[in-house]
Amino acid sequence: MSDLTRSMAGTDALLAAVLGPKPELLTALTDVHLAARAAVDAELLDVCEARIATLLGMDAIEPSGKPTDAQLACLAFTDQFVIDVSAMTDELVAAVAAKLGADGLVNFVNALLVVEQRLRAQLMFGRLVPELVS
Amino acid sequence: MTVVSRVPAGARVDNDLRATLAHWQTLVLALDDVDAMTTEVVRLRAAKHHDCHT
Repeated sequence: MSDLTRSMAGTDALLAAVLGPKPELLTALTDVHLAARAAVDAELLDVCEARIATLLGMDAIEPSGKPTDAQLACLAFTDQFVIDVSAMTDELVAAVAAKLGADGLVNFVNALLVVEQRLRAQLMFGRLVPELVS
Repeated sequence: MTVVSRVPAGARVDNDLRATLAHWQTLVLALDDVDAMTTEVVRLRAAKHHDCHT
């Protein structure tokens, strides 16, 4: 099991514990996560998820290999998305669209939203209910 | 910063991703465990963060 997979399993377990009393919410959150992962290249989303975790101060090991041009464009987008999404530039958006295409761009942005909110939820619930963090 | 759409014309979100995301967001909006004042404070902060004027 990779570090990223282990970290994601921790996120799943925490969210399951917190949302246990609201099973419909947990199911919906799981479904949208699966849909996000199915809609975007898995390695690309993994790389960006690791970057999000790093930016949020979470334990994460970013891939050590040389990123592809598409990954570089998406990582630059991810940095801005996490740090200050309202200041996203046309150039960052266009760079992702140039690599992924129009549909790929909108799928990537939606998937990035999904994985980012999961990690932010993990951080928030970890502080609100630390007894649930293993 | 531009205020025009930067999404290429004709771009379509994956059907499953769009549907599941809409369902999730609908369920979240229906939650009423947080009091109205706190909800509004959070909503306004999120709107400012996202440069949303709706």
